[in-house]
Amino acid sequence: MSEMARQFSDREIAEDILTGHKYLANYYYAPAILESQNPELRSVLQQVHSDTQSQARQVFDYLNAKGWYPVKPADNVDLTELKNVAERSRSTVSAITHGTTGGQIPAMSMQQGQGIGYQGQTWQTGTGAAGMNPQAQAGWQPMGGGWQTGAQWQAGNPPGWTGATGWGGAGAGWQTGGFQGAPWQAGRWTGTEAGEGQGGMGPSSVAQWSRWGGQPSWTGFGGTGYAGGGTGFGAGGFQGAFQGAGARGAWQQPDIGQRGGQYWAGGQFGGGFGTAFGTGSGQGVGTGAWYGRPSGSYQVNLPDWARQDRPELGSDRG
Amino acid sequence: MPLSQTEAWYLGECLKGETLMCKKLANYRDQIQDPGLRQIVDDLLSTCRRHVDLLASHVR
Repeated sequence: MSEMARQFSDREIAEDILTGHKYLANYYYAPAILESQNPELRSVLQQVHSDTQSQARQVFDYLNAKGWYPVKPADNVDLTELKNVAERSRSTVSAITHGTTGGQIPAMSMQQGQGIGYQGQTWQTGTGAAGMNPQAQAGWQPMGGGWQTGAQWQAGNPPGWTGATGWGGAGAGWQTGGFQGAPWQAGRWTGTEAGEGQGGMGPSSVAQWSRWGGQPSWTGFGGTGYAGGGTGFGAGGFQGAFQGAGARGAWQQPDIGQRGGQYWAGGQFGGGFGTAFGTGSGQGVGTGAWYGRPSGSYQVNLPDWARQDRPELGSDRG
Repeated sequence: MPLSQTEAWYLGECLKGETLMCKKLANYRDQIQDPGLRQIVDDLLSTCRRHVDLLASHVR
């Protein structure tokens, strides 16, 4: 035995063994199992993988008992955040699960004016009834992973909109970011940090919206809001994903036309956004409503932060 | 069923990885001071040898 080899302590040896087993399990056996077609080989690999994990646990326990591998408990902040994530995940999954055969979405359309509507799976521009008929939409496909692809949102999209950051491809948007808050002015996007840049509706998305001049519907319509006190996201929709807009009144569909309704992305999130849409009862907003850059001069009751690059929108401070 | 190219590659890598682990464990065993750790390493070594045999049996 060489002098060099003698230098390892018991702790170092145990740590190295643990590292080696973790490496074997994660980088050898796990992918090998996933890539194996041969059922016998797959079974053997699974057994060896399981053994390796058990072995690692033995060494883990040894190190932990010696105080060489301490396990730090999660603090309250971590746990609170985790609970929020769990709740959002539960709501989202529930909405997806129940939304596939859920309630009906009221048909809505822009009465007049120019705009860009969302029909079917693509944005369309045009004059007049550029609205949507949710019944006919195929935009949301819960079982298929959400909005079909970011690319489809980009195709024919309104100025500034990119599919990658809005509702998110692969259904990740509402999972990673929801709007929470009481009245919409005070509301804030509270998507998980992980959601930023990952197709969620995180803070970065909001920043981009304002920069592009587009804004989500809940900040538009002269303060009429977007469903009163919405606490859910549709009876069968994305419950809890959208909270806010409270006390801002109900949806006023006629405004869409009068104001030349701009972009209307009528997403059909689940099936249950109809009940409160227009009644302000707070049962959800449906979704997809998306208003972008206004072409006219109407006042949009946006907070200043959202109009910093859009002087033509005026100010909400008088 | 014959092995695919991917399976053969992974099998070879796993064999090499497991063999290296066996060598390390055998080497460490003689250096360990704590009897408790030595017992654990003995167990691991035994399992490791079994894994090599098991994996090698799929190479025909």
